[in-house]
Amino acid sequence: MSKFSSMFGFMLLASLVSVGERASACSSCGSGGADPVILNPYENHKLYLGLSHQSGFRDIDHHGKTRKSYGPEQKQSFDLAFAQRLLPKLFVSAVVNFGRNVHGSDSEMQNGDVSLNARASLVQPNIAEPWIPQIQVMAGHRFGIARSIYDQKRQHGLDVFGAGYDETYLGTDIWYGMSTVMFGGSVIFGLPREAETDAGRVQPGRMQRLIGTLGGMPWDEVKIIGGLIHEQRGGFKLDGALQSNSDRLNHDLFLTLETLYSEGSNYRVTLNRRAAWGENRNAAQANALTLAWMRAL
Amino acid sequence: MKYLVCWLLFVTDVALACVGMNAQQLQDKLKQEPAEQLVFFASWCASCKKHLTPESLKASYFIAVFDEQSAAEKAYGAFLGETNLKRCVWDQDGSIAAAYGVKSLPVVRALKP
Repeated sequence: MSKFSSMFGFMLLASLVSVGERASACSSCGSGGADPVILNPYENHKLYLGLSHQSGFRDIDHHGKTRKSYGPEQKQSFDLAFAQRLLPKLFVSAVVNFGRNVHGSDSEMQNGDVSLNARASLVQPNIAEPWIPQIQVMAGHRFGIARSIYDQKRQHGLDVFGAGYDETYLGTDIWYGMSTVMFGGSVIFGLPREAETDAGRVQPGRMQRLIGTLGGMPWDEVKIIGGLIHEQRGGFKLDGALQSNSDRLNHDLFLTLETLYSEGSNYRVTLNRRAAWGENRNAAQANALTLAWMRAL
Repeated sequence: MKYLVCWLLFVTDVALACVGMNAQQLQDKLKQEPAEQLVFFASWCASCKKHLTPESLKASYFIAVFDEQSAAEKAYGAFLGETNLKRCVWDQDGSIAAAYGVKSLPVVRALKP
């Protein structure tokens, strides 16, 4: 294989890594730009189970051209998360997931990466002052423990379930949720760490994610929100050398419907379309459906 | 001077805040001054607005739960008026919410006569 074609394959595979990550929905409203489980002020512990199915993969190269995907045709994952309140305005959560990749009649199941997250409220909303938003800061760390694109052994990335490197996230979240029409936004920065892999020493570029969200409550116990995600990541280094045209750009769409039942279980359905709008580079197009069950304990 | 003011507030029974109570203290209060229902609310709960209405003021106590006292007072005062804070109780230790099984908001609990 020539150096060019191996690099091209590498880039396509690298773009798949992002698809291997959990399909994130909306941080501004509690469905997780970085953390899928959010505690309401009256909740001290919460369990989250999510099932997601991704399909319709198409790779997008650094020119923005869409190509047939090299990787799995379908990805399914089971996310398990638990959130614990530490202080009235601070809670932490842990997320683990198990995935299944399918290509034709072949498939593979493995665990994914693990992440720990923390969220603190700086400003609490008040119905007396609906013009003042809720402001939260968040921090998280993903441990790249699962097999990644850089260590894959099987064709079509069937055994790729993780990013291959650790990454720390820092962000802030603003949410106007006191009125009929709710809206907000998030800014999240990702600071990846260098990792030794079978492919060499990998240093991915820094990531920034912007999320804009709009929604409302058509019924008392149902919230519908939709939004846009802009995500970009700088070029990555392999053995210290910056790879040309390796920066990534994604523009995604999501729509979430969530029940807000008072006692017992709640449910969330999220539709996510990756690389759905605007310019995309070294990205992957995909459709994702996530069904989640949550229960405060 | 401040002792005089405190004494005056005490003897005239003027409430300038959502009174902090636990479950037992609320039970005692309900025995002395019965109400038809308890309306549980919080300042951050957008859906609670519909229950903070002057029409239900006479028959209800409004219990602020899972909330800060000052934030609850601000929300209550905005919808029911700061002069009616006597009907407002702040769940100071979570025991009221636990006693009435309040796990989310808003909740209205009718009281037996």
